[in-house]
Amino acid sequence: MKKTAIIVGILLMCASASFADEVDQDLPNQTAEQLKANTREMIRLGISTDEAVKMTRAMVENRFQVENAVQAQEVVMNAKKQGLPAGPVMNKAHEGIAKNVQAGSIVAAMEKTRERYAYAYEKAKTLGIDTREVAPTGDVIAESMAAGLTRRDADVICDRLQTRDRLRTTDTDQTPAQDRQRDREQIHKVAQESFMTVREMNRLGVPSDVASDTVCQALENGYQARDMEQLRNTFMNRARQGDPAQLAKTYAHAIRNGAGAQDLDSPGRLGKGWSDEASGSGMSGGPGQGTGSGAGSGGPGSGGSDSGEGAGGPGSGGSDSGEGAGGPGSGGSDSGAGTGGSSDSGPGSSGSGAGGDHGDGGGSGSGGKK
Amino acid sequence: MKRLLSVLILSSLLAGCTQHYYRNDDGLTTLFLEAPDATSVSFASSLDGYVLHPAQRLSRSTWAVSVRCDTQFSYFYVIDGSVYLPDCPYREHDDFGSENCVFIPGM
Repeated sequence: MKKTAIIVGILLMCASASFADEVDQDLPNQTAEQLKANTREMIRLGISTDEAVKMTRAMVENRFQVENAVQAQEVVMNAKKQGLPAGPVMNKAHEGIAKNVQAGSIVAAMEKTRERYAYAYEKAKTLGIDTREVAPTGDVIAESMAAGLTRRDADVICDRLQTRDRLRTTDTDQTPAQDRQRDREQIHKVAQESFMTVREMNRLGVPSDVASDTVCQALENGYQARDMEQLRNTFMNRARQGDPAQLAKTYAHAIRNGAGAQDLDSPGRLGKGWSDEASGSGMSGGPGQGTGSGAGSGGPGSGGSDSGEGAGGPGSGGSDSGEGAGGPGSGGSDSGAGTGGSSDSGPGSSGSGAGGDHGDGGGSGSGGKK
Repeated sequence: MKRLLSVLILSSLLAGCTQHYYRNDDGLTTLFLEAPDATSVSFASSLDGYVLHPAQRLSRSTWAVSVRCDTQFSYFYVIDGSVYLPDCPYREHDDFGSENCVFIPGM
């Protein structure tokens, strides 16, 4: 027994010695003992040795004062202790260093990142989703907030998701556990898709309240995960050709008036709401933007609301700037002026996105906008 | 004559502009930056902890950097020692009072 204890003791000493060696070896000689100790603590908390050492080394090499470096390490450790991802917090340190930001501001930005994730993960937990889905949903909420979503608007979306959840639960009180599990997965998917949609809208410069309103309208109108995904994809394609904020408002208005996700891809089906809000808005591109000819020769919405005020509808003729996506199908040649046949984005890129909507009017894409 | 003058003015304005675009070939994304006045261009992204990678000069004004990825990432450039954000459609706040570009595959 005594012998075993001695062997275990020796093994533990060896292990801790090699552990210390790794930190000692990989950090510059001038590294303060406190920073080395914290680096070991970070590793003990589950951060990979490489990542922990990389962050400490970067701070030492960039002449952080020990006080600032210790604070930065503490922010990372606090994130880890709270069950939050340490990666985004550590990445913030590297980003600040690459941008040559002062150490104090880097620590502040790291703390801001940690707070954002803490808030996002708390919100994700309130959605009644499976525990293992909290992290992916929390990550998307945090990314939405980094893109501009305010806490208030994040709350509004979460409230809307919870309302849907409650309604669903009331409806299915008597249903088997298997169905409840399926419901939870549905809620998770809708939540995930909703925040991904808000995130991309915010990244495109749509104000927080406008993006939030659009998604809430969709949730209120019974959009499922797939619908939300379709809304997002359509939006991202169309937003390249006009004012994303105005487009989001148009979508919110249309959804409020009962438009389904598939309707958002064909302005003709949106009726008055589309042309009302799009007109004069500077939104230069519904489907059909560009050099289409054969105006109105049969694309959906070729009459009615696609009056060409702001948003050129399918086959509405090419009075737009000539930038952007190919017009609605000109017998299948939405070719654009792309280079090399690869999926370019940028000057001279191929017509993609919203063009080629169901129309069969003429038109082919011209060079892409930036 | 007037038209010629307009063209010349426009050309000179465009020559000073920085443009940004990308191309995707079999999972390898190459980002191009038109920066005619730059003497050095580096690229940093969230893919590898914002390590600065020197961009390759393709011509007098065109710089390029390639990344192999199929996920979204945040990025920025450093031109002649200063952080530079090109005209990118997708952006996020960087918590330092500025922004980063966000690359979204396929967009």
